[in-house]
Amino acid sequence: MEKKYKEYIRKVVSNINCDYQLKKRIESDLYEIMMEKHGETGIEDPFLLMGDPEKVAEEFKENLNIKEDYYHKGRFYDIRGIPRNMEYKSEKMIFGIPLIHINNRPYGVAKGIIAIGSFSIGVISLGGFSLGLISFGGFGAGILMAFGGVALGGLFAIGGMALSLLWAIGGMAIAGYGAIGGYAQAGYFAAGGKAVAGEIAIGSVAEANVAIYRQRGYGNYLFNFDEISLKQIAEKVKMIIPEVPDYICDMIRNFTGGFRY
Amino acid sequence: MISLLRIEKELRKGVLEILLLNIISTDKLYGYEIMKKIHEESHGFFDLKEGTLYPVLYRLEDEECIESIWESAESRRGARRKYYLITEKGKVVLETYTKAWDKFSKEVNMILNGGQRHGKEV
Repeated sequence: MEKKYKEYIRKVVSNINCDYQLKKRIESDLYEIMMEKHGETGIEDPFLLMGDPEKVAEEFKENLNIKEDYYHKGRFYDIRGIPRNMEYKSEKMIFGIPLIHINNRPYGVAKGIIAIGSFSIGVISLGGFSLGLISFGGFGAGILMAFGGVALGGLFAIGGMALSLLWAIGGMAIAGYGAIGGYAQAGYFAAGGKAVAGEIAIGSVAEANVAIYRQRGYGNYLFNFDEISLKQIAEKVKMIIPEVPDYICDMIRNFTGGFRY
Repeated sequence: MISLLRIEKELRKGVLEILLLNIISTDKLYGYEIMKKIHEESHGFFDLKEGTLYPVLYRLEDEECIESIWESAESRRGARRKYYLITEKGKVVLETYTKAWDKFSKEVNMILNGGQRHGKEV
């Protein structure tokens, strides 16, 4: 019941264009009044208790003197003609979630299948802080993929600092399986200025079971790629670790640009 | 044509602050109680909705005419309720409002009833 009431209240306040504090004030008062009405009538359904959330919001707006914005040439303006930050929520819903929600207000939260905002939560999520299946943001956390200044990705992460369970690419890249970056550390394969990995690392400084290095190498099998060609090294790696995927051998073979003169 | 509903609505809005201050001045009350009390005392004429009540309460609270306190309610198994109380400033404002309303309503009634008019006849 509490969840239903909170959802209803969210529907009301999402239609009231006001600051965060006033929204919180309205939320708290509406919740209290719904509980009172429920206690007196026994009715649980918030729509029966309170009516259409949009009408409730309209009445609040009218009595709080909140004027409607108007839209002109791609921007929203308040009644005085001053451009506003914008919030847009598509009417199309999927599983009760808006298909698109854009909330460009300071500290605004966007929640939608496609969510764009200072804080965004969605299947595809873009924002300062973004959380989603696929996320793009200053700080991005994605169950599948994340891109951002700091990117945390379930399968893939690309960013200044990238962390992932599978693959990460970035200035500093740390991953469960493969990492490529200035500093790269991974469970299986790493390539970078400094590369640290469980099995194969390639870099100026490399540390792994098979370490392919130019300046310093640490591991069981060491190859200096100033002394032996990368093509030959790739063949040797295949002999040492027969199950190594071909695409990693290809990466070793082609990974010349950053390391060779 | 002038809508009667619109006029009624405007008139009700105009007196809400004084009515709420008056009701709260008698006892500390919570939001839903205020709605019910005003409905009863006006014999159903004032049927306030949340979207009308709370904005007026917010204004009165922001102007420090009333204050709110949270207290647990026994009837709601200890859940908290926000009670509103009139402040000293609110009492003064209520007194001023009441005097102004008395004068205002008297003058308006006098004009509407075709009573004695003040000022220069044109």
